[in-house]
Amino acid sequence: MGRALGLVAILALFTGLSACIPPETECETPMPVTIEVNHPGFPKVPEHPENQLTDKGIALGRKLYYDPILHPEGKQSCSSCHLQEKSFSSDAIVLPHVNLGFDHLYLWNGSIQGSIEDAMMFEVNEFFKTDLAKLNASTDYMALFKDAFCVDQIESKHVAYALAQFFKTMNSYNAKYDQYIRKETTLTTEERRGELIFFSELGDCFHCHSAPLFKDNLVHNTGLMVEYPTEHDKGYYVVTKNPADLGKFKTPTLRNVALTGPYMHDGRFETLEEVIDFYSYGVINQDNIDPLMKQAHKGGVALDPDDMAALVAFLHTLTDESFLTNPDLSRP
Amino acid sequence: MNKIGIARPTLMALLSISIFQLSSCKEKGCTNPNAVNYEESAEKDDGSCDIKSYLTLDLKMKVADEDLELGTGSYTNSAANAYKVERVLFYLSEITAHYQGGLSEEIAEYHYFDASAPATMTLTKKHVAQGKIDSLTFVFGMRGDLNKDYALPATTEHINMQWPTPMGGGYHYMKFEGKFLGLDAEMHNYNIHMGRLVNSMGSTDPMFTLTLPLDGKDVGAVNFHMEVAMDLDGWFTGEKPYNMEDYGEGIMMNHEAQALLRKNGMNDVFKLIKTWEERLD
Ligand code: HEC
Ligand code: HEC
Repeated sequence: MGRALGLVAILALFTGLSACIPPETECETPMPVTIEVNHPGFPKVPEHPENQLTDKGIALGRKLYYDPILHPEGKQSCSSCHLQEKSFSSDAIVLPHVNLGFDHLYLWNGSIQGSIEDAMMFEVNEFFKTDLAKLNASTDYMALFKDAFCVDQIESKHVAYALAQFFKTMNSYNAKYDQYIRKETTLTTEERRGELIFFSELGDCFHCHSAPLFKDNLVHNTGLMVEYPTEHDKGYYVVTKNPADLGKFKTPTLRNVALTGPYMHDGRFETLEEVIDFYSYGVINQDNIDPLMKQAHKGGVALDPDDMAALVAFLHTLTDESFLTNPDLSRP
Repeated sequence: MNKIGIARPTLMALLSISIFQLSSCKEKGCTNPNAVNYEESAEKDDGSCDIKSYLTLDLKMKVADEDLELGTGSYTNSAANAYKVERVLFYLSEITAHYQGGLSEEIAEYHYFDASAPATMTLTKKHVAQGKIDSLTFVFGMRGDLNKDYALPATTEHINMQWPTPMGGGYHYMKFEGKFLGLDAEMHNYNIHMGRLVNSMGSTDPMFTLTLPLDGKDVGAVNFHMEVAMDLDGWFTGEKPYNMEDYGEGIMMNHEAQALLRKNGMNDVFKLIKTWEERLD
């Protein structure tokens, strides 16, 4: 058996050397790794056929995330707007980076569809317009990309892939609520009341903010406005040009939501109390409002003050300190 | 393999190169992709193709026997509610064809249907037995042991169909949503969400099993299509019509509404439209 294998290998070596393998400098493709998320009901970290996760790829993505070299004028890095202590969001309408590797719909208006790799291609090519010459001129990065991807020439694809690998590690599943689901802790009476409001038609939040990711990868019109003055307000309409899609936005995750204000695509609400007041009494009924907006004809789900407070208390159980301080995700 | 296109002189890479080279001569075999013994690498058919039957279930959305116009159609039900339909998502489970002589073939353990996504509205089981098919049976909703938290793979579709634990856990059997014109002359949302409700008021499971007779159709080496309608009008009609004025916005915590929908739905929601045969050779 061993001898047979040896023969095949020698044969292959000859045929390979003679025809198939271009004479390039050698490099080893690093060992693939898998990211395990051990939490009930959590999806598997998606695999990309061209972008296997490796320790070197993840580390490179992390370095790039914090490095203004991606910016043509070197002014900003991803981390300038996406701050770890705010679930990789900031005091503006910046969407957080938490469990994004599982998504297939990106940006408030859902205009990017595909994998996290596709989203990163957009960020690198369209949003940042990264100057690849700068990366290719850096001996440091040349070595790191070679280690991670076996390449001698850095293309935007490799930058996007490295970032995507890092994004696939930015996972949060250790909030108080998660520990409660895993039966490692208990919720207070008020938090349990909030849970029931959230996960029933009393408040009806779960249909769009579906556990365990607290988002559904869909766009909805929540009756926030009836006129759409800016392009940004038009939402998914920008993608389809179908009037029925006016004011439809990606459901943002509610993980770490206590830290990601101000809220909504236009940042109109400062506090969670204001948000819940909107869902209770501020919903504007209209032709293309989502059917899941219960009692929209009456302005919303009409929670009383105690229930509003309970719902806010529940939302606070979605804060995951271990994610916000995870050393593996911080500036390297 | 790594498509970034770089030399990887590892043993694995070399092995695969050599295997490719060894097998690159013209190969004979079965070239019909529908056959059980189809060989992708075969370039010349040698007449060995073994073709068994396929069974296909095609679900058609209807309202009172007319094709559903999702988002645009205006309908009136037997309780005189004027309504539009925006979303219909549902599960059938234990979808099974029964043959004469006691044999049966499970087409799917469960299947998720989305009226807005044609690809989800049809499912095929390949390479099944040939014979005379007496009936098609299925469960509306999720069969018992699958209807518990996290029983299905955590895909976006299944995650979004979860029926929250505080109301009994498992999955929505159906989400049927849209708007209706209320007696107050305002547009109201309606959400006909069915599932097993367990709470302090008791337990109601609106699941039911249906048998659609197929009269011993002899199925040979063909793709046998069974076109079945889900007629939304049927959820409303019955001894007691389902009135959106009573149950409109949400019924997930309403035992009475769940039981009424089950009663109404068992009779005339699912109907066999027709069967037909698609050639496989
Ligand atoms: C100038 C501030 C800023 C910088 C710098 C920035 N972002 Fe963002 N990011 C935003 C804002 C604002 C949004 C929401 C925009 C929208 O959806 O219209 C966003 C959204 C995103 C989203 C979509 C999230 C979702 O839930 O759909 C991704 C992915 C993303 N950014 C990645 C990056 C990456 C990668 C970098 C670095 C290459 C980066 N961002 C740098 C401000 C910034
Ligand atoms: C029909 C789907 C839907 C339902 C039901 C729903 N949401 Fe939302 N939620 C959204 C969408 C879409 C947005 C973004 C809307 C926008 O920015 O215009 C949003 C935004 C939010 C935000 C702001 C998050 C941020 O980072 O800006 C919070 C908080 C929130 N929802 C909480 C809730 C609560 C609590 C409930 C239940 C009372 C609820 N949602 C019900 C879809 C929904």
